[in-house]
This record gives sequence, C-alpha cells and structure tokens, in this order.
Amino acid sequence: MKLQLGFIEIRDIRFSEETKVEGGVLSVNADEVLAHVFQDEEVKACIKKAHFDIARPGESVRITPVKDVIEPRVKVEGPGGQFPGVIAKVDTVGSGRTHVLRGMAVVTAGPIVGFQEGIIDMSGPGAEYTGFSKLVNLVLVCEPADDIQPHEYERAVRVAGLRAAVYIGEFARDIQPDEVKEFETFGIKEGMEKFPALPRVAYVHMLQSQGLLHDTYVYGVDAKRSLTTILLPTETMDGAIISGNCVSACDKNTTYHHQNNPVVADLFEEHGKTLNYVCNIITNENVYLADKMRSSDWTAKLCRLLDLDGVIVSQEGFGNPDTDLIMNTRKIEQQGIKTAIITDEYAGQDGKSQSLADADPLADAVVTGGNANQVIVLPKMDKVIGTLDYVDKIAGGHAGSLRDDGSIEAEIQVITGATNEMGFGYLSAR
Amino acid sequence: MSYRVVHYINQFFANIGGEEMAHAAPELREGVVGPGMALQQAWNGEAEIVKTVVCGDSYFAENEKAAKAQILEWVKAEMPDMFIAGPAFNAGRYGYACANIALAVQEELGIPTLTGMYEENPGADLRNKVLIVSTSNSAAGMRKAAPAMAALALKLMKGEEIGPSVAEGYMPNGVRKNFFEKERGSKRAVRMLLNKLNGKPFATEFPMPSFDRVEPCHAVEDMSRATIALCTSGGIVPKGNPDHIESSSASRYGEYSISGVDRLTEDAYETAHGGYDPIYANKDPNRVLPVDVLRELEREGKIGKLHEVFYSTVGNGTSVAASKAYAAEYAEKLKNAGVDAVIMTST
Amino acid sequence: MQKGDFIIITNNPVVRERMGGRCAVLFVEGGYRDVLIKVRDMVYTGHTLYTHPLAGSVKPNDTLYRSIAISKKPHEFSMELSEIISNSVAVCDKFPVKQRTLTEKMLRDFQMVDYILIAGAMEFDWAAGLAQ
Repeated sequence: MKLQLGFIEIRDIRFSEETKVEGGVLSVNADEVLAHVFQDEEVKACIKKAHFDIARPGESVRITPVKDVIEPRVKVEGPGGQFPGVIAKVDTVGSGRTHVLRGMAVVTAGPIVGFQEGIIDMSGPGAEYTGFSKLVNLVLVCEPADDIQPHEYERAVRVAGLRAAVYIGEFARDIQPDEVKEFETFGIKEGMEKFPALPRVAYVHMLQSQGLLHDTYVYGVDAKRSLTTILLPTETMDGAIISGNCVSACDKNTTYHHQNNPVVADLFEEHGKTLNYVCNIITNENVYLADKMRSSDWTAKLCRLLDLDGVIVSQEGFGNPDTDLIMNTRKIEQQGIKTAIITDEYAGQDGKSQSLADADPLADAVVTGGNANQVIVLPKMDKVIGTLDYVDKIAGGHAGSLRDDGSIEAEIQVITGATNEMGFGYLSAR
Repeated sequence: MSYRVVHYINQFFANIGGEEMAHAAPELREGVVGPGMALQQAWNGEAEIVKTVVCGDSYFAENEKAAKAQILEWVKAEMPDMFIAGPAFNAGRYGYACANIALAVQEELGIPTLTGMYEENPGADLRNKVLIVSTSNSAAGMRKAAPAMAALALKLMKGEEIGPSVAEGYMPNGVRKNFFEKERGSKRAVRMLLNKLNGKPFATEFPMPSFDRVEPCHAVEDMSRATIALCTSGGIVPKGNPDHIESSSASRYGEYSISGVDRLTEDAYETAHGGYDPIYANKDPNRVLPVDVLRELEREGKIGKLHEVFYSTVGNGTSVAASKAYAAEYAEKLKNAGVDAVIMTST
Repeated sequence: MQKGDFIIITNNPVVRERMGGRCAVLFVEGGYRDVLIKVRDMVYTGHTLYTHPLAGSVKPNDTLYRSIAISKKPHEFSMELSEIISNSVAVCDKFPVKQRTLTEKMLRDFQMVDYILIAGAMEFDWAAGLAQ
C-alpha cells in the first residue's frame, strides 16, 4: 500500500471571522470550531466550557496542563478518514493521499486528574526540551463539568481535541501542498524479491495500555484488549493510533507522536537503501503479568514468523512498561533477531540511581531519551494558557515548585515530550 | 596567574628505569617531568605543573600505606589546585597506584583529581570514585590522552560544570548526565541497529547493569554426609584481628580454625568490618558466621560435618577484582580439603 | 490463575470499600512501600504475583496508594517474580519523599486511579462498583 502525504506549511494561526488556510496562515473562527466540538454528546455532558488560544514559537507563553497534541489532517484520496474507529468510521487507512497542516498542532489543555499533565514552554530553557515549542499551537482549554469522574472527562477531552483537529484539517482538502512525499512497504514475498540483499527490519511499537487514563486506541480498539498484531507503517502514519492517556508528560506518546512516529519516519528514510522495512508490530503494556508474558511471546513469535533480521523496540511510560520492554527484547534476541531499543531513565536527581526497573544483558543496544529526574528551573512567562494551579502537583513537581517570582523548579518529567521513548527528541544521557 | 598542578608518574615515565627499578621509593621533583610536558603544553600558560611526584609501581603496591602518607604530605604542603596521576594506559600496577593515590588526595585533602588509563586496567575499578579519562592500551596513545586530560583538568580547576562522559572523554562513572545529541533518538536507534546487523561496532547509550550471574552447582545429594564450610565477607576474625584485615578495601582474607569451637563467643571473636554498626556482630559473632547453628545441624546428623576452618574478609569497598582473587584462591583450598558445599554470608 | 485464588493487597480505602465484599482483600495500614514489602514477603514464600507492582505511571512519590493482586495460596517460588517485586522496591526507594499536603480532591483522584487500574486488571466490574 502506498500513502502520499501532502504537506502544507503553516507559519501562523489567527482568529478570524472565517476559517481558512491561505498563504501558510490558518485563520480560525473559534466559535465555529467550538460549536462543532460540542456537537458531540459526550463532550457536551462532560465539559463545562472551553475556549481557544494561540501560542507561537518564541513567545513568552506557557501551556499547562497539557493533555494531548494533535496534527490536523484530512484524507483527500483513498479509503478511510481521520482517526478511524474513533472519529471516522472503521476502514483501513494508510493508502491514498492525506493532506497535513505541518508546523502547527491542536493542543488540549485543562486538568484531567489532579496530577500528571505536562508543560509546554514556547521560549526559554524549557522550550529546548520539547519539539512542540517549535509549532504554532492552537490550544483548546477545557473545564470539566461538576461532579464528573476523571476517566469520563478524559474521554471527553480526548474526543474534543480530535474533533477540533479533524474540523480544521478539513480546510486543507483543496490546498496545493508545498511538498508531497510517498511511503510504501511491500508484501512479504514482494519485499524479499525487491530487496534480496537487505536486512529485514520491523518496528516493535509498544503501546501504553495499563488501564483507564493509561490507554491507547488502535482503530478505536483499546490496546489492552488486543493481542500483539501487525500494522502497516503507513496505517500508523495515517491516524490509526491515538493517545488516551494522562501518564507523566515527559514520556507520554501524544497523538501527534503517533501520527509523526519518528521511528517509522527514520526507517522509511533507509527503506530500500540499507534495510527492508517490513512492517510494524504493535504490542501492549498491560498490568496483568500473564498478559505481559503472552504479549511478549507473541511479539517474538511474529518476529520469527516474518523472518526478520532486526527490530527497533520503543516504549511508553515508566516502571511497569520497563518489564515489557525487557521481556520483548530478551525473547526477540533469543530468536536470533537483533534489537535496538529506545527508553528513558529515572536515575534520580543526582543521576546515581539505577535507571530502569528491569534489565537484561541481551539488551545491548539502547538509545536513551535522558534522565527524567533532572531538575530544571523554568523562568516566569508573561502569559499562561491554562492554569498554574497544578504545577505543585504534577509528576516531577513538588510543593513549592511554583516559586513566588512565578518561576518553576521541577524535574524535566513535567515537560511534554522531554524524554520521549520513540526517539522524537534529541535529549540523551551517559 | 595560572593554576598550580601536582603530577604523579611512575619510575618508567620519569626515565629511571623499567621493571628493575619498580621498587623505587617516592621522590619529589621540582616542576614538570616527562609526560607532564604534554599536559602543560595543552594548557598554554593557563596552568602549570609545580611539582612532580615519582614513585615505583612495586613500591606503591607493596608499601601502599607508607607511600600514600608520604605523597599526601608533599601534596598538602603544596596545596595545588589540581592533582593529576598518569596516564597509565594498560600498566596494571601503575593504574592501580594512579587511581588509589588520586582517591586519597581527593578524600584527604579535598583537591580535585584526575587520572587516565585503559578501560581494562585494574585501576579502572575505581571509576565510580575518581574521574578517569579513557585512553588507549599503550603509551602510543599519549598524543590523544594528554589533550583530553588537560582539557578536563582545566574545567575542574575553573570549577566549570563537567559534561557527560561521552563528551568529556572520562569513563562512565555511574552518574547519568543529560545532554542534547546531534541526531534525534529514533535516528540513533536506526543507525545502532544497522551497525549491529552489519557486525560493525556500536556503543549502547545505556549499558545494562552487569550481573555476574553464576551458574548454580549441582545440588548436594546427601547433606547428611556432606562437609559444609562457612565463609563470610562480614569480617568475622579472632579477637584482635591477627591478620590486620582492613575495615574497608580489604587487601587480604583470613583463614581461621574452628575445630573444637561450639559457638563463636564475644571473648574470642569480633568483626573487622567498618561498614556497619559492629555492636550486634561483636556481641554474638554467630549472627554473621552461624557456627552455632551448623554445630547443631552437625549433632542432629542433618549435615555430615562442619569444615574445620573458615575464610573471612571485609566486603566493605573491597573491589570486585580483589574479591574474586581471594575467593579463587581459597576455593581451591576448600576443594582440596574435600568440602562439598559452602555457606557464604554477607552483611 | 485459578478462579478465586487471588487476594488484593492494598492500602487504598476505595479498593477495600468497593472490592472488599466481592473478593479477598488484605488491607495494609501504611504507605505505598508497605504494600510492596508485604507483597515481596509473600512472593518470597511462593505466592504468585499477578499484577505488576508498579502499575500505572504515577510515580511512587506522587501517589500514596498501591494495590497489587497476588495468589491467596503459595504455589512455587519464582525467580522471575521475585526479581520483579524486589526491583520494584528498589525503584520505589530511589524516589525522594516529597513534603506536601494533598488536597481531598487529589487524594480522591489518586485512590480512584489506583482502584481503576487494579479493578481493570482483575476484570472486576468497576463500573458496577462505581455506581454503588
């Protein structure tokens, strides 16, 4: 299956009477978008009110608490639509043509539970730790209805963000893209015939699936209820996977990360040159230990069945997923298939503690997204989109994190995407 | 004003001689000697070597206490901004001396120290305690080692923050430091995988903690006929510590008879260990080395007999390499004595 | 897992309340670490660990609550499970204690997240529990 992505560069976003994309500028009628978002019954029931704001790179702006980041897109040719099984009806995506509003994102913000969500700084030292500081962000700030359960509200905010992104993406339909790129993987036999000399490589993509507020959805299916399975890389690129979790900000894979999965992108860069990119294998990170054994058995089995030579394994989250990461890696290596894995570390503020909750000597090729416990001081920003009420409470923050002068002292855990375990960022540690 | 440095080198690099002169006692020389020139050149006037300490490698190994005391006294009199030892490359005893004298200067005098050696040098055991620049395995690597050591030393003297090991060239010291790479993580992972697939060298960014897993022996078939020995790293010794086993970084182990001893008593035994509160071990040494229980089992016929000697050392800060060497030696003795199994107690 | 051969070790009052009458629950008076230690001691004596001790991404020094499912009866000693639980204690110990006062709402949120995770893992009808 071949997927074409047509990129339309967005350099700025402005509020306006009319919603449109013109000359690299997205004009947004906020009321119109909100009206569309609130057409959903769940959103209506669970979100008391919401408003939009805009944050641009270099501005003295802090967005917090950040829940999800989503890139607006539209399917212009071929089957399926955006976020199949969640927004669009279920249909296999990953072929045809999709238009992308590149350089911007819809960011959802607002408290889900009294902890966990992250910070995006648009300038200053914190901005260096998150790729989202380089995007023009259309921020949807939500306020929960009274007496609502966190997981109901999470679902409503998740859907609200996706609906806003899809609505805006629609305006890219008839725009001439600035750049068009093509992505294609092949059938098993076809690929072997095409690239007989190249090593067969797949991407083992571990999805956060520990339970409510820690979930990921594939074509609308809760990943914890699925066995390890195969996905075409272009399906991942085309919105098949969305984030539904409120885990710590630094190593949460947002929907944007899934849409722009860096492992997929970088494997495609080498596809047909130094390796044959066969497929993605998606597996979960369940809480139940028997599930972990089963899922990792299946991962290793599929790797063997596909006659792979090597895989890249990526992770999401802290603690519990380390066990899945090591189980997967060990079992895949025991099949004689080489692995390189991506993780991050919790080595303590002094960097001296054991970094992972699990380890195995077979995991001998590790890329790290850095030590999430590193302490950083984020200076006061002129404007806060959202609220600072939770800064003392979020993972990585502590009482007194928010200082009298408006600056924040916290671990980089608080920054959305800081130690991303798909290798989205440049941070590392030794 | 330039920073002042004291440099430590061995007899070979001071041009006194090779192995035949390794017994040379420490001496203090004015200014720069031998490899110090390369460091000083790299500093370009910002720092200078004011004194050079020369010591024979065998002398240091055999008279460690005396050598350390003498050298500390000289360094203390000078109170330099920095103490540098080596580089030692793959010379084992030189590396051991460099790391240990650097550690002593750092701990006793609070002066920043730096040394350099090949990663497999036994001195590199101390990499988590002293800063060690990683060098090649022969003195031919001096041209690369000297600028790296000089640059890192200058940063230390200026009190600048030290970057991650991979950027500064020191051996990973158990302290994880964040920094920004030139390529994003996914790209690095793809590159690492390709190198691994193609049999090319690759360096993991996070070495898994190395577990020295030992395959278990076969189970003892008949415990009622087995000879069981007791060994410990908890420092249990006859009262008075006749072998002078050190309370930390033990340089030896002891072999002691317990034939006819029914239980270890407060009057006859004690611990030499300096890493835990000794009160309870001294009150009842069987708590660390359970002779009393083993005698009971012996009487009940549950074990054949308790071996008549036990081996003991202090685990506190004792290097893995040294521990392995002690155990290899007495394991041989235990085997020759027909011992079937050993109970090793720690603290 | 044999049907019914599990017990929830917890210090979370919500778990005790909602799951208590319906399955075996052992309430630990103490903190997050105390629950881990109780479970560790049971795993060492051969009880089978069913859920990961670090479930959820809430850090051990953020939340106060922990619930873990383990077999009621001891089965066979497992090296792998012992490693998982003892590593989890080590992970817990490396997070420094935070001095702070938690609001009622935060305590409730932490209790709820812990409850939802354990209930979900054990396929407990948490929706019914919630409705009560």
